[in-house]
Amino acid sequence: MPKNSEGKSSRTEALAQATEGDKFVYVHPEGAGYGQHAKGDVLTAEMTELDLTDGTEVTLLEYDADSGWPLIEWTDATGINRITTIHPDDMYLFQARN
Amino acid sequence: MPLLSAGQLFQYAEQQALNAVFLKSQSPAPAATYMALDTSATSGGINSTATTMADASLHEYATSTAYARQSYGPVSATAASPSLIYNTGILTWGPFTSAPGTANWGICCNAASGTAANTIAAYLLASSRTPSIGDSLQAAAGTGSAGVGFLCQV
Repeated sequence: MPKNSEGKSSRTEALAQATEGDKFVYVHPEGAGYGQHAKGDVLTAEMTELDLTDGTEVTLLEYDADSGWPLIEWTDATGINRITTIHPDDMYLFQARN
Repeated sequence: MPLLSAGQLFQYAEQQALNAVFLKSQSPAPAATYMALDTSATSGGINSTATTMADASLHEYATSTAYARQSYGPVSATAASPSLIYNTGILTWGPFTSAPGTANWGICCNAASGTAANTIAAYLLASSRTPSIGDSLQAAAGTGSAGVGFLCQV
């Protein structure tokens, strides 16, 4: 398995098996925000300001009571505290903070 | 930012409030409450007897869109008659990784996730919102004035 796939897999595992309160950093390979990553295109200036941007520290709040997917807490560029559900396919975008 | 109607308490909250103020039972311990977004019809769409988010009349945004309930963070109920309670900060959902549909309601409940959460109050959005992929959705902070933020009064 190529190295980057191993890294992707271990990062996915790290968020999938974390403890509430554990810290992670959102890291996108091309520096895109989470919303921009989903859209595959640049967002408006207003939506860019509200996006989960590359390098943002996030905290695991809990695992969704129904789906088991992680809910992360983070603070956006305007200073508002946010909660976002992370799809398992996107967990590799979150690196554990040592 | 959408203007919101005054919140209507669900049966679960009405019962808790009456039992507490008439000293029939102890009030629940202080804890966080959360604001959900719901796509139910604006007229007669939500059953006031719903006690949990599992009620068939509720249609919360799907978490597969990256949606999650946001912390409500209300003020303490005001010393006034009618007494008011409302969010102190702007609430922001998203960014959505797929289109979540049209939100017509805010639903306050007592857990960050799961359909077992108890329903507290429903707020009809003054104007519906349909975010696109990548968008975030904001609601105004309350001020105590009707139509601003998620305000509930008794």
